[in-house]
Amino acid sequence: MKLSKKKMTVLSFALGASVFVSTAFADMMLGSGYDRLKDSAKTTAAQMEKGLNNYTIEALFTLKDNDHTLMQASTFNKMDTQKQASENSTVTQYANGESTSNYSYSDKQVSIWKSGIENKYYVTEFPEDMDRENWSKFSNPFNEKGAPEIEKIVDALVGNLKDYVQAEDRPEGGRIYSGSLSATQVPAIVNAVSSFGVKQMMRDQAHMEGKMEFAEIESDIHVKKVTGTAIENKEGFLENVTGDIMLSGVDKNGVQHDLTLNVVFKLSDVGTTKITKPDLDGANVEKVSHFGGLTSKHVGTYKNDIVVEKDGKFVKIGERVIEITSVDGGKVSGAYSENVKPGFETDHPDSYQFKFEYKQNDYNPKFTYTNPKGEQETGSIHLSNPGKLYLDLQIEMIDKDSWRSNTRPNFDQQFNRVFEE
Amino acid sequence: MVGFKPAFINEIVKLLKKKKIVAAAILSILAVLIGQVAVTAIKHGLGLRVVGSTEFPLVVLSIFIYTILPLFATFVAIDMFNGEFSSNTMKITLTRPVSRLGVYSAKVATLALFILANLMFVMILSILAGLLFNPSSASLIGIIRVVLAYSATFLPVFVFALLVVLLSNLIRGGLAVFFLSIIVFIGFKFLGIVFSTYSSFFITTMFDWYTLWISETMNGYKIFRQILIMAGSGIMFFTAGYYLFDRKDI
Repeated sequence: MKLSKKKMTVLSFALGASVFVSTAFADMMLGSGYDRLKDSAKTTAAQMEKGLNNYTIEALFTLKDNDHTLMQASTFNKMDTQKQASENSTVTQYANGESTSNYSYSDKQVSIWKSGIENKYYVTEFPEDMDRENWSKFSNPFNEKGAPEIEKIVDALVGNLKDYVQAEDRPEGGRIYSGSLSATQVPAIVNAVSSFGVKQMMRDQAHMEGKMEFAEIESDIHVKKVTGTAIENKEGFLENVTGDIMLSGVDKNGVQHDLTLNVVFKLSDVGTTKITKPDLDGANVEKVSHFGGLTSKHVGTYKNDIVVEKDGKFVKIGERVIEITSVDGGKVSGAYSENVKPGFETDHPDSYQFKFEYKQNDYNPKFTYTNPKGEQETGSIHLSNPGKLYLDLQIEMIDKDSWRSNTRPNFDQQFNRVFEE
Repeated sequence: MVGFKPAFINEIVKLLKKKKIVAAAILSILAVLIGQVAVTAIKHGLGLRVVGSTEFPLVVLSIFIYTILPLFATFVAIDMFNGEFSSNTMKITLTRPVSRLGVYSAKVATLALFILANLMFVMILSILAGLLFNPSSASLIGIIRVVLAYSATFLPVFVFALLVVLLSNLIRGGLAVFFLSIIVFIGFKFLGIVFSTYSSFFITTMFDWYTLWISETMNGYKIFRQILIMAGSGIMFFTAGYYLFDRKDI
């Protein structure tokens, strides 16, 4: 059978089209190891935010120069999303033998912090009715603002490197993802930018105390190798992620250095993590107010000079005075007055004189007062440097969270404590 | 395909007489030289080794495939079809005792040869430059990688050139074809980024598929799928282009 030219053309076009469409679809459906890994990371992050009742995350960072460990940091993070409690301890060890550590515990009512340097617990208690929406929980980075856009950009930059991620099924369920890039595969731009960044970082480090004992690498800096593995368990969570980045360079004596950063993340004890509040009986405890408001040590008198310019000179025409008479159980009471020297009343009309009383229960406690014209206005006192207060008057609320204060003329809002000597 | 061989030789001779060939060669040399100067400057100025000797050709390639190569492939393709129709020299070609398919295939084959030659030219230049300026890190494996990468790059660029051939048989004006090709090129790249899941449908996203060939662990299935995708779209473009070429009046 001899096909006509036209039939031949149509046939081969159809053949080409079907091959193209079917493989492109197959390629799309299959996705790459990279896409699957990304999906897995997304589910893990979403589940860590809510869904998993409790879990433990361990992270270990090790920085090595050839075989010499420069720094090692490990963190232990226990989370309980149901009880809204978390416990976190960190240990960092440097090459010179120095190490720092700290510990923290947080739940709905209390947050406790202890550093390795002092044997002292800093405790902050929160009132029952306070909405602790942001207890130190894990927040899903994929839900952050702008995350989808960043994801797109990263995807574009990664390009064909996506296919370096291999996915392998595990017999017990789940997958192992792995990938490695040698110097050839690392895109030149990525190589240049990261090498440059590391070089800058090393220079900054050199100016700091010699905790890290960094060798100063001068030339030939390049990314030598990047490897990573991630293990997904049968529930679809990434439970173990490790990564290695090796950077190579030569220092001024011509010695070759391989700097390796090794990162390990481990998600474990899902459903079996127990968080225990530290026993503070007999321990050295310092209570810290959760919003740093006024305390009884702030009781006293504070002054601010009223200064005007007159005949080319600065003249003090009086004083503004805040008197904090008592702070008790978060309740602050006091008085404000503006005392103008006789003869200067025209320079400072309408002196404010009022008493105030308010309860400190959030970061921006406010009080109301009556101004000389008999109108109700709002004011607020903030803490400044030791022995100083900062006063806002005539506050105008813009909405729930923002406000503006309209300052009066010649008023810098800063009040200094009056000390008796 | 009656008379393919003489038609092919005829096309090559015509191509070699064009100034575009010289321009492509000069630009390719310039690209390699500028790349080398930049790399050397970074090495001495900032102390970074952006590339070793065998990586240098790959850096050149990554820039070359998005600039000079598709640009000149487009020029040559437009010249072969629109150029000859508008200057009425197509008549001379078609009145010879050669079938239309013969002429069409000869033109496409010449285009393929041009792309291949340009790739090889840049490859040899950049290998030489790499060895000359960064001799410390040369290796045979590296050279093999470079050859593999440059050879693999031929396919997606050729398929793109076939698309340009199709366009130049569809539209009369050479300038319109040129701009349309550029829009398609950039548009596909952009769509590939925005709809990254569908990127397999956009041929220009495969321009850097050579990275698959030189990876530590080769992903054979992915390479196979991409070959099929490119072959499929190549056949489509070729036949559609031929169909239009065949129906054209002189």
